[in-house]
Amino acid sequence: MKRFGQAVFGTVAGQIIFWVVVSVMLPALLEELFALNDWLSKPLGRLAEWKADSTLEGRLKFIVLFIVYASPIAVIAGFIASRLKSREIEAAMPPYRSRSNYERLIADVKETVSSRDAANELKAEKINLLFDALIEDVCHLFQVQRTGVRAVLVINNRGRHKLTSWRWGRACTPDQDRMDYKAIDKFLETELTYPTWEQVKSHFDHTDSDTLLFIRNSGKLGLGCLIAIENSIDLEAHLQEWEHIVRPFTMLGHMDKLVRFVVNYT
Amino acid sequence: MFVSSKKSARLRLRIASQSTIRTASGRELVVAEIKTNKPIPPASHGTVRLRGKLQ
Repeated sequence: MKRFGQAVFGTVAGQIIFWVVVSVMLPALLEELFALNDWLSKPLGRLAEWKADSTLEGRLKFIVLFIVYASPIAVIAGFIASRLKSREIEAAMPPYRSRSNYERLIADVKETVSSRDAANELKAEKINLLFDALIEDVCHLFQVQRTGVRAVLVINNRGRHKLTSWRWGRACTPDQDRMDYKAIDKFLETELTYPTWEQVKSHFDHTDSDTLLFIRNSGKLGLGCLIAIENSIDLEAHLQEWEHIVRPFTMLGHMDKLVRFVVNYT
Repeated sequence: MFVSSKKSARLRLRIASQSTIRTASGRELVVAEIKTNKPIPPASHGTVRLRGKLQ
């Protein structure tokens, strides 16, 4: 069935045949539907012919006619009201603004990892603070609990087939660890800097995360970060804000000293 | 005469070693060495929304 669908919609010839068949068949089908006119008119015809002689019958006829006329008006009014309400809500909710000053935090990380005098613990702490701020933003933006978020940092360890990884946040089992890395495989194969993955539980049956977000630098991988969120989130509504937040993080992989520090930190 | 069109293997990450360290602030950090079966492809700027079961 899937191959048939691909053959029809995936090729120009298939699409032409499809539209020819539709344009020929649709008018014929509509004409056939006109045969239903008599059937559809019958209840209304009966209603029109109904001689409501007694008071009770008159009231009943009025109620039936009221329902017939009022129902479509109520549906249309309800639709318009819901559209207006959703516009009002959208207008009332200001776009999410990050509480963190990432420019300052990243400048701080850059300065500290470049400093020969700074202790390794301080450098690691600055990196922790930066990704803590990112997790905090994820929690506020997508309305999730901090206990439901885990971050996994992957750093290119100079060699072509080797990475170094840091993980913090929500605890996980070795199985979950493996699933996180399998998800990172998929993200790296997209060859894009901030791919997302929703409804992950339908791919990995036993995973503890239903939404995964990934950020990496462009070009050769320097630094990537997986954000694993326990539940599903409304990504559609916050996609633009998310893009705004991740932008500075897609630059971190180009900071060689940061990459080298994480690789050598044990 | 015949050109082989063997599909390249998928990228796989494998944990080679793992240790837990405690940072100066008392935070627990899990550090792992990861091996990959092939080089990681470079990326260009952009996003894709993956959903549900993947191939």
